[in-house]
Amino acid sequence: MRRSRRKSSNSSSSSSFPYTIEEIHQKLKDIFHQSPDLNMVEYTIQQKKVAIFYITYQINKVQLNKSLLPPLLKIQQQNLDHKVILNEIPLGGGEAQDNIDKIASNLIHGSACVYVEQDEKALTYLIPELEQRSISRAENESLVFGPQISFTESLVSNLNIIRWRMDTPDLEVKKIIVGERIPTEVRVIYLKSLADDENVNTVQQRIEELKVDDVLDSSVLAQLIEDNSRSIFPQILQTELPDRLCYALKKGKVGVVLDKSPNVLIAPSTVFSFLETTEDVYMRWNMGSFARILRLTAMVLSILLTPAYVAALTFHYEVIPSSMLVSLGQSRATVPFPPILEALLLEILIELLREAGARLPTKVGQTMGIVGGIVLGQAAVKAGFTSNILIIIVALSALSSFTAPSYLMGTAIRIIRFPTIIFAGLWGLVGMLFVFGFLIIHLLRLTSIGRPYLSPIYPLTIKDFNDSIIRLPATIGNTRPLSNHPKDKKAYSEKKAKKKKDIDE
Amino acid sequence: MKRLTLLMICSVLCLTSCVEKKYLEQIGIVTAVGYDMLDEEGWLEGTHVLFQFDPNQANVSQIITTRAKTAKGLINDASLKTSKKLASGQLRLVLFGDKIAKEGVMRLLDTLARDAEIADMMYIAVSETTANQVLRANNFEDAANIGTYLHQLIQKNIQDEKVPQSTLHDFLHHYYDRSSDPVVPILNEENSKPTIRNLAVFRGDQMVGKISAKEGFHLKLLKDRFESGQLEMVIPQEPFIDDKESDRHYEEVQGIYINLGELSSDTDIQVVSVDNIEFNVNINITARVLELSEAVKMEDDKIIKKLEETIDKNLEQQTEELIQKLQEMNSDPVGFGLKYQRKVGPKAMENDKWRELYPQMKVKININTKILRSGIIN
Amino acid sequence: MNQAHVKIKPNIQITAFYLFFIIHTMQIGAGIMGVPQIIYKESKNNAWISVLIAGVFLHLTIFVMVTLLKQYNNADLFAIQKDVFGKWISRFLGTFYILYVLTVTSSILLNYTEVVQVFIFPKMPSLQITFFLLFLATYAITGGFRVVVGSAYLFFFLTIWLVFSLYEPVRHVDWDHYFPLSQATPKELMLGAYKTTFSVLGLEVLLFVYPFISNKKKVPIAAHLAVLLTTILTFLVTFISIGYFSGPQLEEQIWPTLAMFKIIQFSILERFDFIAVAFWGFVILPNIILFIWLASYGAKRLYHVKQKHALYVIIILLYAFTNFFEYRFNINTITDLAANVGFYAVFIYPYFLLLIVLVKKKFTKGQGSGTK
Repeated sequence: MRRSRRKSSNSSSSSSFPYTIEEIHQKLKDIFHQSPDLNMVEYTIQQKKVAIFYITYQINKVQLNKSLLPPLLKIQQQNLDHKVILNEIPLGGGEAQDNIDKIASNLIHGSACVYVEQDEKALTYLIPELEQRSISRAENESLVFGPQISFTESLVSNLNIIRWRMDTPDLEVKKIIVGERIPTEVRVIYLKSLADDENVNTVQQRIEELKVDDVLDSSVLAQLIEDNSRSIFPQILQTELPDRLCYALKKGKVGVVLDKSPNVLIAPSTVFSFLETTEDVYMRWNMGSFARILRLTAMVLSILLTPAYVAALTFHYEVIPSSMLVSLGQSRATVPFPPILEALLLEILIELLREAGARLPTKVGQTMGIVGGIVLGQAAVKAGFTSNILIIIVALSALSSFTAPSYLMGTAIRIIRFPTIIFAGLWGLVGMLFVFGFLIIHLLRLTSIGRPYLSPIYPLTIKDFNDSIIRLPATIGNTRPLSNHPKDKKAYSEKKAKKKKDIDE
Repeated sequence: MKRLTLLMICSVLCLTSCVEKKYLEQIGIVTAVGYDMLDEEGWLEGTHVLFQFDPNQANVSQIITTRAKTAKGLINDASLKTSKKLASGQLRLVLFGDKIAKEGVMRLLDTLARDAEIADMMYIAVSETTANQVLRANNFEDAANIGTYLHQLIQKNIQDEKVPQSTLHDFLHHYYDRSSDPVVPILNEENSKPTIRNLAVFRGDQMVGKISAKEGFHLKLLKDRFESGQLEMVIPQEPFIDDKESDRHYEEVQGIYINLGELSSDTDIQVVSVDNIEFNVNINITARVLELSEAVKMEDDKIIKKLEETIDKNLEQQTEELIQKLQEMNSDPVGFGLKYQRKVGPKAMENDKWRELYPQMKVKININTKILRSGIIN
Repeated sequence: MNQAHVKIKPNIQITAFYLFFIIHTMQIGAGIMGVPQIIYKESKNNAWISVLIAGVFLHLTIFVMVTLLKQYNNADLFAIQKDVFGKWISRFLGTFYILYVLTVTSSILLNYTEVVQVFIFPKMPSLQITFFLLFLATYAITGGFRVVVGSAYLFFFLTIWLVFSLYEPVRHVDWDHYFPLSQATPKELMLGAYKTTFSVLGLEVLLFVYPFISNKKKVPIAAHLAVLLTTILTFLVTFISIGYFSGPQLEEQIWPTLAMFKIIQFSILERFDFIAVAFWGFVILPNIILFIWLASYGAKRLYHVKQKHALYVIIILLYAFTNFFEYRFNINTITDLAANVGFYAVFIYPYFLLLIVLVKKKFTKGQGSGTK
């Protein structure tokens, strides 16, 4: 855009205001490459020719017809010029312009331009029509309990929601433009009194230093500013829930809002923040802790179960308990492939089902799930394609991976399963241990905008276990997560929280 | 990128060779093995009970009998008789024929003990006749095969404190220990169903005699502690005659059968004299009376005391008899030798010294039973 | 005297809390798998007393090391040696130390390889097992000191629960085996203690990571606690082995610690020993990571090469060496070599060095030129 503007400024610098109506029309037409969308209406008011330019779909017609046109036509004053019009028309956002390029750019952003023939300046009124989805319920991060509102693609309404939720002047918003060809507005938001300056600077610096054509979505932005782009694990949390963002901001994290994207980025994030939902906070602390530990175990099981099956049936028949030995053996006896193929086949089947379900329209997708899950599974066992025990295991591990509140994390976990299965099938327990060792070291190496990814496990900050792995009742956990380096470490006074009353007092 | 490809090539080179695979459905999983000595000189007969999974056969259990001169030879011979690769990682029971047990089982057990695949929790047992006969018994309740059944049979009885621990680990432990000896259950076939009647007493790795399962109670009493044992015994009705409530003719009754349950015991063996090899055994028992064949007034403290004394005397006598029997076999499953070793140190016990001393051992047993009030009704 | 000073960037400094894990994981590794048998051979059923004696000795050594390090501001062994012996001798001694560290590492690798081959995969070539371990070690070390320390710390927690599985063997312990208490002669006990030290080598890491620690005041506590835990674990394993196995049986076990896992079974897992042996890889992994890190870091300090390059050379050397040795020598030869050299390098040398440093200090003070 910058380049196109430069080009047009060269062409228009030859002559300047004042213009005739035809001249200015021609100029604008040139800038818009004879676009049919540029509209011009001509009126004669007080013996003077007045033209109104606008791009049909960029302006709000109602405003044009109700607020702009009637007062304009009713002007009684002589010597009509832009000053008179600016004075007479009861509409905010009017600007006098004497640069034809600026006028063109304003027209794109939804202005109507009023020009009195042979006047020194033209007027632009910002009456934009922004097509946007209305605010609706969260679809991807659905909650049973708690606020249901979700972000939309519009930066303005997103900021509006955030401001509404956090109505404090402490909330600082920094504006950055990314994208060289198609600039997009980015806002870095944080609570001034809490967020660590280093974190804010890192995020800001990384976004500012980006040299890219455009940023398609906030998830792309996340990939661009991540610490380790080779890793399978997402290092910056994305959420569509305003309450999730505000909760994170209140813990001293930094948020990044991108125009045209319904997802907001939260950094720094730890591996555990991908496994928590705001629902854990809305529920009572013991329920929340249970849900979090459940999800954590689910992730471990999800990576562990199928490879364990493969390893045990390929190499380590010794570890199979005698009560399961016969049923496992009998169900395996009909299967024509080695366990590793059997497991890969079934895992891929599940992945296909998921992928097909995601691509298809909702109504068909549901049928797909049922057809795939029940019919195919049944048929596979009947045909002796897979053992029925593996079906249970694969379904269980797929289910486990779907409990991850972050879709990206769930996908990462599911993909990790494949190399693990292959290693288990080639080197049994030793191969599995190798993969787990690799994963652990990999997680240790990862950082999220320079902060350790495995925090609070490593480096160990016991106080941070609250609100990351478990949740504690309000009387115990009063600190903000120390791993975010908040400026104010205590969320509330411990003394008051711990004040106890005697029985019946 | 170049480095990555180099790494890839490296890893492929290093990792191409695979490890030996043991697909569950392609192996014959041996769950029990029986060894017999054949009449011909030096020939062994092995009975392998195994699971093998065949899509067309409902019966997953199979028995293979082989002949060879060594334990490994038996396995080699067995693999000639089945399409599956035999694997003994799930071996749960080794059963020795009567003859081989008397001759010494270590030559066979040693190969098993050295194999890391073999579980230490596998049971060792001896057959009343031949191992083959027991393993071929076709009544094994609802278990998947005879190996599993025998494993469960022994396991249950160990848990019920009727049979002493007889795992491979225990056997080796006592075998290597110069001052104690292993005891294992004897399985015999009754109406084509294997049962436990007796216990085999070993000296080193040779079976030197057997004691009844009932005597096994006394052995455990000496060796171990009961947590929830059971005991049935006959006591003379003599002292309780006056207290009998019924008006039956007492002369008809031979004795009173008494059944004790929830029996817990605590044994303390002490060396009284190292030179004279004298031991003192103090045993405290607490138990509940579950059943009496004759009605005895249980609410009377005096009667209970009398009952306790009778039980004490009875038990003491039986236990002494057992020790005498064991001394005659020159086998020390109780582990008196260990207590002796405590005093003299392991060096003094080397070269089978204990075998010479053991028959001269003198033991004084002192049992103290306490009967708890029984049941809801007196 | 204060010249020897090693500067460490504050962002890779660690707290003394992690020193505990570094020292402890360094000590517990391949050695503890077989230590009960080795000690039992010397001091029979009083082997556990030998472990306690060795424990006292360990604490004494830590004390000496800490005293030695305290003589300087922020120095490690390389800097101290340079200060005491001059450039060339210190370089020679440092190289010797690195070689010793590499010998220990290869001994660990070979031992674990053998264990895997005996317990799990008889036909798995050692090329593969060592590749797995060295690959992970390289991956961790290239992540920097933060990851090296992190893996020591995390793998400690991932494996420490194995201690609780000793509960099952404890139930099978024959308490008569421990008596009589005063059976072994003092000489035998000392020999047992001497042999114990072989499997608890690794506390020398303190001499190298000292400059990395931000709160120096807590170093003694962390180091002593680490050594204490090592002593406790070695003691537990030895003590339980004595009761669990009968004497001659124990003497026949090459890895009594692993053999004790053989009786553990759960309803969903028949043979725990397989899991434990595979898991043992996680016990020795931080060991290998730390040792190789030490060697590469040492090379960097001594020869001013890039640590990355030193690391690659070391990894390739180790890989070639361990697989070469498998066919040539008995593993025991190299293990014994590592152990014997280790005893002098770790348990004798620091005392000697402290003595020299103290004498030198007095000497310079006597001259009146010493500032401290």
